Amino acid sequence: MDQKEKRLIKKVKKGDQQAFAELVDRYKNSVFAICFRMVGNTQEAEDLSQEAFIRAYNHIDQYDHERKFSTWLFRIATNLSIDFLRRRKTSVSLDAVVPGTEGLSLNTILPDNGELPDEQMVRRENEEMVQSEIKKLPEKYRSAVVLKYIEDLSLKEISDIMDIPVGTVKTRIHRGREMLRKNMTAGGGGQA
Amino acid sequence: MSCASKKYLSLMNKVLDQEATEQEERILYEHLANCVECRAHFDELKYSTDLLCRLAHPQLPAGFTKSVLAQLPPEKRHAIRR
Repeated sequence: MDQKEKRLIKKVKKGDQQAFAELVDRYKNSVFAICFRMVGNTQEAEDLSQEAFIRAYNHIDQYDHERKFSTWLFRIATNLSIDFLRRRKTSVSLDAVVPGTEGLSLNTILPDNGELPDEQMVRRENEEMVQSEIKKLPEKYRSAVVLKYIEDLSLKEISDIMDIPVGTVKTRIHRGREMLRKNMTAGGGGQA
Repeated sequence: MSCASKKYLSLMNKVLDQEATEQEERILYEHLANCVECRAHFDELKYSTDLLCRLAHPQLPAGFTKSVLAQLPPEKRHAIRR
């Protein structure tokens, strides 16, 4: 962790909200990406991301400065997302009635990079397909896979974030990867 | 996979996790050159994770940081307030 970040956190511990704003700016895109890929819906992901930062601010005293700040923050975001998924599972699952409509505000996701409409369409369909496959993963595989392939984190970092041994992280990634393979390719026998 | 797949599956995982030794990598690639099924399996694993890696990072609305700050408890200003 760099010195600037250490200074910022010191200030936040004293209640400096401007310093906290800088931390939010640093990490908001990563936190949002984790939440979005976990829950599959931009609005819910935004709410969860906000909640993650508010929690981080309110519990900054619990942050151990010997560890990476991002590890601690991503752990809050991952746990909030998992809690959210569990709550959603136990409540009447209204969103299950209209599959494929979640996370559809793809205009906010797709970069405006001058693609032709056809290319955009293909990209959009791909995005939706991949997102719906991520969503089929059980949550413990999903979080490991998201941290690894969306955030590109090391197995050690993932183990710190999820508070499980590296060996368990590997098992979850291997199983998640195998499930994705089965569902995403014809070789796996198509839809599971 | 119908060949002695367990061994190669675990090698595939090691290679994909970037934890394989050079020798293990060589053993796997030599096998893949001769085994259509294992090669297909390995390619499929790589294909699926490549798709994940290529997902665009979603964009947050511009006012995100502001809206987080607005929800924080009032700033402590010991020096100013009495």
